[in-house]
Amino acid sequence: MMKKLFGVCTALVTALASGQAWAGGQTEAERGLAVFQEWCVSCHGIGPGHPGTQALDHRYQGALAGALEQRTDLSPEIVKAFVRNGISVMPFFRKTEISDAELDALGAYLARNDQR
Amino acid sequence: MSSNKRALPKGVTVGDFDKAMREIRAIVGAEYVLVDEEPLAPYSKIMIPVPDAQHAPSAAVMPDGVEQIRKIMKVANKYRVPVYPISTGKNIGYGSAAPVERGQIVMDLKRMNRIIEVDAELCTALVEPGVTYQQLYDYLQEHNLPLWFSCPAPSAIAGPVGNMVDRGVGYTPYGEHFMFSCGMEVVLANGDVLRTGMGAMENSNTWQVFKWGYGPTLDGIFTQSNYGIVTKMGMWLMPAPPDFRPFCIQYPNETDITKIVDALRPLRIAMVIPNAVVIAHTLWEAPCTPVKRTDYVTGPGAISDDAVLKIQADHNIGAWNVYAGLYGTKETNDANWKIIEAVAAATGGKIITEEASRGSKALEYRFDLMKGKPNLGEFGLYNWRGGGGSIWFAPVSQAKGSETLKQMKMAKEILGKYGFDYVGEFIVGWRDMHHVIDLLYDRSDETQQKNAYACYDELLHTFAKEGYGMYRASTAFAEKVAATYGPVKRDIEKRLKKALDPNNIIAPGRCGISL
Ligand SMILES: Cc1cc2nc3c(=O)[nH]c(=O)nc-3n(C[C@H](O)[C@H](O)[C@H](O)COP(=O)(O)OP(=O)(O)OC[C@H]3O[C@@H](n4cnc5c(N)ncnc54)[C@H](O)[C@@H]3O)c2cc1C
Repeated sequence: MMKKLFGVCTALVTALASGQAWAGGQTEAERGLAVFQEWCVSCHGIGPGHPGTQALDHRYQGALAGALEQRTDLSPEIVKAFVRNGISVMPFFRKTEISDAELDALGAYLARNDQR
Repeated sequence: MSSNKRALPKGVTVGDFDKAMREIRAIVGAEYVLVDEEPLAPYSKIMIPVPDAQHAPSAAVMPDGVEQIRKIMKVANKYRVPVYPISTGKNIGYGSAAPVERGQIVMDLKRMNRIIEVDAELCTALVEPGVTYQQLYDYLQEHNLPLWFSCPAPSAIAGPVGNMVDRGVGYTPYGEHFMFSCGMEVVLANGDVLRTGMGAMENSNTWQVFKWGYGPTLDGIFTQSNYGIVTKMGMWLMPAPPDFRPFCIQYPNETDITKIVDALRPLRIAMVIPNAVVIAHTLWEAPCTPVKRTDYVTGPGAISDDAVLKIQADHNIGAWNVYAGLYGTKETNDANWKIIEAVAAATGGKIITEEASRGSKALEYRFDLMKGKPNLGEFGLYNWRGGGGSIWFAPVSQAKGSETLKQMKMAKEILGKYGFDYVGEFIVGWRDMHHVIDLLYDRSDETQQKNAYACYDELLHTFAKEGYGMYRASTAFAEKVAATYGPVKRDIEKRLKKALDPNNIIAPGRCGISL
């Protein structure tokens, strides 16, 4: 997929940082970025026009970043809980959509900047 | 989960249910069966104003193909356990992925996600239920195929089969999705596999090009029903036009809807404007712009007309905002553009072209939808009220100005009475309009939830009294909406159900059909 390919290229930086390379050369976080590009970016991308980012901007009022990729406090567990359960206006995602392995990767990607 | 809390299907014992699940596990594999509360969460989250428990599933099963579904049908018949099929499961505001009745087993078809064929010459596709619009879009891009499809607003995560069987709509010239579907494969309750239209014939190669076949055309009975599980669907794609010219026309007054509809209807019927025109109210545009409701409303209750006027002025939003497009060659579009300009001038509308729209998120996502480019821009609606509550109220109207104004006023008054805003739009079919209203409420507030239910109920009955019926309804109101269509139709639906699914195992209660 073009979007995925694009995601994979941009993910190289992340991959170098995380260092968890797979046999195929892809890191967990890198695969997580591809999942993010497929399922999350239309709502949670950076900048205007992303309803999820807009909702979180509104909720945190600057205390935390509205864009998930800019957060530094997300753990894989939190990511998993929100993806499977949804919250408030956010829909859920089933394992037939984002598999457990893909969700692990997504968790790794969004938690890559976790500084705690 | 303790067994007394379990959501079991109506009339099924724990023992029989467990036996059925054991047999289904043997068919699909244990990892594709969920029965515990936590993993079932994505099949339970609803936004409609009824308690979660009312639509809690007992289990979810995820077959990988027709053969597994046929075997599951056998087990379901044996133990009388009802299954509720979903495709991409994003029927948000109509019941999401949760079953119509508590205790039904959700049959999640998302794993069946093959794009079986795209015929670039005939401009057709054959897809499975798990295919998303985004997936189809990426496929066409990757294969360099200049073909477009029509998709609903939540297109990045929803899919053509689920949308079509619920008779959803989109925004290109192919916007009436059932009309542009061609051929279905359906697994019936007894395990038979029916191909509709020309597909019934062995070796036919016209399944995706001729809808009717010979004898009665059956496709319609598999939409908004529970007579079978659709496992494949043909759909028509449109060639990308050499020139696509989307536009918006803004109008300043709520009462302008009369002249807008009367001026646009002839253009739509004559196909000068070939796509499903949308006429969106200020409060549909505002959240997607985005405008924050809290900047204009404090305290409970519906937004005031003055605040709506202020939003229009502050953010350059019309009272009504018409979205449509010209699809043709440069020459034909140049000629038709003159007509659009003349109509806008005669009716007092302000045209916004694609160039002038840049930077406006509300316009951009609409223009993308009019060429079938998936996005989720419309989820901005949910930030308007917050709190995760939404139910679509969607009556059909004639495409006549006087009718639309009447419906709008009726809806606004009832919504206001319960403290809700009129967040509505009209989607112009050909001679009809789907008047779609998002009844947004805070689902974490019990009073609002109760009010939202009561409000929908009053809307439904008031509209029905005037002869206005719903085009589609959520699982919470399936029975009540079906009742507005009268007893004769319902009796036939029941007799069909008895003939095709005598044990009542496919989604009993869907669209009010049950034994
Ligand atoms: C912000 C927003 C905007 C929306 N805009 C639109 C819009 O523009 N147009 C529109 O049409 N809708 C719209 N919707 C409603 C809805 O999200 C879409 O219609 C969506 O396409 C439906 O979900 P789905 O495609 O995943 O179908 P599913 O949820 O998979 O299916 C819908 C229903 O059809 C039945 N069903 C599904 N698959 C099968 C099968 N294989 N066999 C038998 N029965 C089956 C089930 O009863 C199921 O509950 C909108 C929703 C939101 C939240």
